[in-house]
Amino acid sequence: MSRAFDLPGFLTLQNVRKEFVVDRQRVVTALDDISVDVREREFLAIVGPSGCGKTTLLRVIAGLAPPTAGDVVLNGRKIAAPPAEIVYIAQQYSKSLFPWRTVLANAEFPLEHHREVTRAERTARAMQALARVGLPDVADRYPWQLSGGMQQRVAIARALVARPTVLLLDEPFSSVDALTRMELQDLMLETWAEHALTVVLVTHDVDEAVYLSDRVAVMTAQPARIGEMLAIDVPRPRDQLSTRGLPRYLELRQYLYSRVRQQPQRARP
Amino acid sequence: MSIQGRGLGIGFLIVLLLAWEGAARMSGTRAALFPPPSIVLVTMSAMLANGQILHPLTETLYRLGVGYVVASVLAIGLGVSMGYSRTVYNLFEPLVELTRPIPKAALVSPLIFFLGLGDMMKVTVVVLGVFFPILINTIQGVRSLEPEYVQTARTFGAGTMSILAKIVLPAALPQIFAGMHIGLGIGFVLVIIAEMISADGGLGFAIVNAQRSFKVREMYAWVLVLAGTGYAMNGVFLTVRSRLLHWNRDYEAFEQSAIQA
Repeated sequence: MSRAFDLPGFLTLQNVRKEFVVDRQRVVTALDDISVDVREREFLAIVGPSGCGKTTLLRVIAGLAPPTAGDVVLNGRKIAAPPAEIVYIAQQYSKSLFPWRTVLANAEFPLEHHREVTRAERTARAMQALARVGLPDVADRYPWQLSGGMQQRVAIARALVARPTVLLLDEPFSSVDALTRMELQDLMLETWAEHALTVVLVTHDVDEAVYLSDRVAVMTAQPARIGEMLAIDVPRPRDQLSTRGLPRYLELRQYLYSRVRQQPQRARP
Repeated sequence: MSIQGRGLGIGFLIVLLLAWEGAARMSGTRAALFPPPSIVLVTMSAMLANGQILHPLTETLYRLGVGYVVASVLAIGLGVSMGYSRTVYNLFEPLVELTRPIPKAALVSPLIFFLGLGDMMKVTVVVLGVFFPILINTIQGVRSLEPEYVQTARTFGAGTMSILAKIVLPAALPQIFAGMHIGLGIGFVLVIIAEMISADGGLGFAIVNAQRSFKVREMYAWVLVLAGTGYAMNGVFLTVRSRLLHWNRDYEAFEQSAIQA
């Protein structure tokens, strides 16, 4: 691997803590004390049991939820509001695409908040992104007219239109069938390489984490922390058949399963 | 509905009309107060032909239309703010809960003191009646907004105004339309009641006037005009709604979950 992974301080979480006040007596600690260095152009997966705070972590990185304590720093800049370089793709495409907009209008949305982008350019960039994810013909359809996999492709295209450098994915492939999931995983790997993206992926699917990532962070539920950071030294480019058959892949998968399974489950707050 | 299902209902309607016709024709001297539908229809066609219906109809539709539009704009505006902001909700909630249960027809009398008998009073009554069902349903619609929509909009740099206009409003639209559907029915009832009380034109006054001057056939004809008007307005409403909500496959379900206010 010749990628420049040793550039420190690209996207850094320093002792991030996030509490939710339930009522006067109860405060739920969703994130306890999280410190991570996400490297530039890295594909990082965060795995952990349901309810361990993975989604909260992504929202904090995205600038959508301010941390109670600690900092998220991107390129030396503290994140206080959603930064233009970061795009967060919410878990379920059905709640992420706007159902009242056509596929094209969904893909155009990120550019509507940039005055310097003309209408024609907006449409052109959206069409280009839709073509890139293999959906040039469904631009005037509505989300409900598409299959789950196609909807997820639209969500990816819409994210690309914004030209982010960091993509945050919250279990993006969890609600599609197995074959579609593999297609989407490979599409995501291509996209990541092509656009030189830094990806932080949250998943409970250990298989997926190992297949896609450079490193996997194991999150524990109580306390909600990063328990372990694992380098995935499986060669790229990865292939759904051959990679998944490699002894090293199986070994890492096995190990991660044992790490995730050991943890107590926690109910969602 | 299938053609067959529709045919059954229309057939039943014809049977009822025939029964009315027969009963009225056999009732002898009371036929003056209870005319058969054939005669009512003849009377109504004559009224349509001589243009007698047009003026009261436009008066009523104007009052209802103005009141309905004003109420919708106010209720959607306030509803979106109340649904989106806890502070705004807490500010208005007691006032809304106190004024909402008042049967709005009861306000015709006090409003006459302040606004007189003219259009302003009738429009105000309509506004008050239409306002609440739309307000309550809008609040509910905004409250049930998927947080993912807002998060997605924010991650793409949308500001608060943009989120309200482009995300919150369209997402709440099915519920808003459910409220507007209820509001249309209430507004129609109220404009007729206000016209009946104030004796200042419109379809409501036409009915009262026909009754007081014992123009029994005309009175029934006016009732039929009201039925036709209500039917037509509902048709227009459903057409507009299905155009604006075609993206939402389950707006029928929303309609059923509408909150009566």
